Amino acid sequence: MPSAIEIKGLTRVYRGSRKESEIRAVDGVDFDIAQGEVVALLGPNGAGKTTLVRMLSCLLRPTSGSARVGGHDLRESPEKVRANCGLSTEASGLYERLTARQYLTFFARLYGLADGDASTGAEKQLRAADLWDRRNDPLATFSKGMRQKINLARAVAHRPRVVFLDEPTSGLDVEAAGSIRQLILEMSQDGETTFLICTHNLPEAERLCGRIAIMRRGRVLVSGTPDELKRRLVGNHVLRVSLRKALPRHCQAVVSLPGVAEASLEGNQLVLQITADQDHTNPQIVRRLVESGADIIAFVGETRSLEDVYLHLVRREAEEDAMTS
Amino acid sequence: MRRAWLIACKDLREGLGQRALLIRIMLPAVILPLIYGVVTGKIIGGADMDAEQARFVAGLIVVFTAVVAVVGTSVGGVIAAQAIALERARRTLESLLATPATDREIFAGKVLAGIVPGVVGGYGAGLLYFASARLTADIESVSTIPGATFFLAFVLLLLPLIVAIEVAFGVMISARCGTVTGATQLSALAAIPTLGATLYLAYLASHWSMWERLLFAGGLAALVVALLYLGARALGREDIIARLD
Repeated sequence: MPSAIEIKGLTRVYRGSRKESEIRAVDGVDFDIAQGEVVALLGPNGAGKTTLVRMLSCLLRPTSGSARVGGHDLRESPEKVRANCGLSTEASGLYERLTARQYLTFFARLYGLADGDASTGAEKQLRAADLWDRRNDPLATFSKGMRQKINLARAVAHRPRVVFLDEPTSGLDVEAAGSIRQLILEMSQDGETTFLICTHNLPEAERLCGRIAIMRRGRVLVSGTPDELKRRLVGNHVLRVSLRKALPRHCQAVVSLPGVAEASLEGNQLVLQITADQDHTNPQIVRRLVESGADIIAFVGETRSLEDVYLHLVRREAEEDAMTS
Repeated sequence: MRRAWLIACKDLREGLGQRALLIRIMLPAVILPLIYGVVTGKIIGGADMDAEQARFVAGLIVVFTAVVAVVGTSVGGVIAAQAIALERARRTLESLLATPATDREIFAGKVLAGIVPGVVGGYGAGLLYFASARLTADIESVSTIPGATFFLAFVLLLLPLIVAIEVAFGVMISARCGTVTGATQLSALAAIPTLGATLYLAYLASHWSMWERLLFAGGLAALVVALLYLGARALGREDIIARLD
């Protein structure tokens, strides 16, 4: 599958009035996204997600590094990059006095679609967003959820190859957020449009995206499928084995088993991080523990979430920062 | 230029939808020409004037015409001043800048959206002024007043250029200002000396040769082109985005 986005060493430095007040918002990011992929960009506030998206959509010029979006270089042909992208940001406003149809048609024409195609594109998106009945109403009368749907529709009405969505469900109620997620899922079904979604909502990222990238301090720390990240960083599952009296030798007995990433003691509980198939690993763990003289009282399995991965990474980075400072 | 035209049409549609703002701008643009027209008519009123009186009336007409032109064209100036500052305040600017429209197209669209109502407002106010003067006196008498006829005709001829200068300044200031109020006030401040100088030169032009007048008109046209070029170059897409947060 060809790359829709290729990023090499992309950096953006904001300079303050003094040299020491220089901020590296994006710091040497290397990252590729294949055509048709749906990727989530996670990270705390100030991680550089929005700056990265703004550079990729040619709103900001990179300080150094390069990137190609939809086959076009950011520096050499910014107009072509913009023509191939759709962007919907967290708090995008709307032209309140235009109707929904006028708004979408205006942007589709601005993106270079002929009048007929722009009108057809607007109609298609309004029907997909379930707003066809409100097509002739001014946007000032729309609710927050409907406005966000219009924003999404605007970002895709010209059939871009790459779509950037920044916090698409931020501030929406459960129902509105659900319908926006459904809309994104439907849009990403064609397998040709590439989506890069910045979000703080981890379950949303896991549900919508095939790949996750986590950013902090302007750098992409890790990327991979949710399962890959769990396996690599925190294990797919956690086993909590309650023992009558947990001892270090019980830990040592199981930590060498294949599929056990980590073993630790929490009181009389043995906590194991499992990276392999449970059907295969669990019987071996029980056998080893019994052999080492442990009295097993209870055996509870927990599935790891993306939140565990995220928190693990953020804590690890914070610890590293503390050590270096 | 298709994109510039699209942006201009959108801005006009949005601008004309702001009824409260339009009423605030249009009221002086309608009332002042009417009052000045009636006053002019009453003063001329078919009365026989000696040379000194005629010179006084000519001066009055020149001042009235200048005020009417300024008030009429200010419709465009206000719309131009809001062009980018209002989009920033409403957070619609990022979506617009993310389209393939170039800086030149965006700037031209914004200027066009100000020029159309400015020219319509300017000519409309002029028309009202003449109509009300005509109704209250014999407008033919104006032609007997030295200097006035030429000034009126020259200002009317130059009106689109005067509006274009005012609007281009307005859009440039709008791109640099953080608030809508600040942009409106600053562009009004910038417009006063520009318009004053232009109108004063137009008044002096009654004593110039044809070539000098053509040179002046050409100079104004060149200034418009230069402002359009510089304005587009200085739009500062980066600065605008940086100031969004």
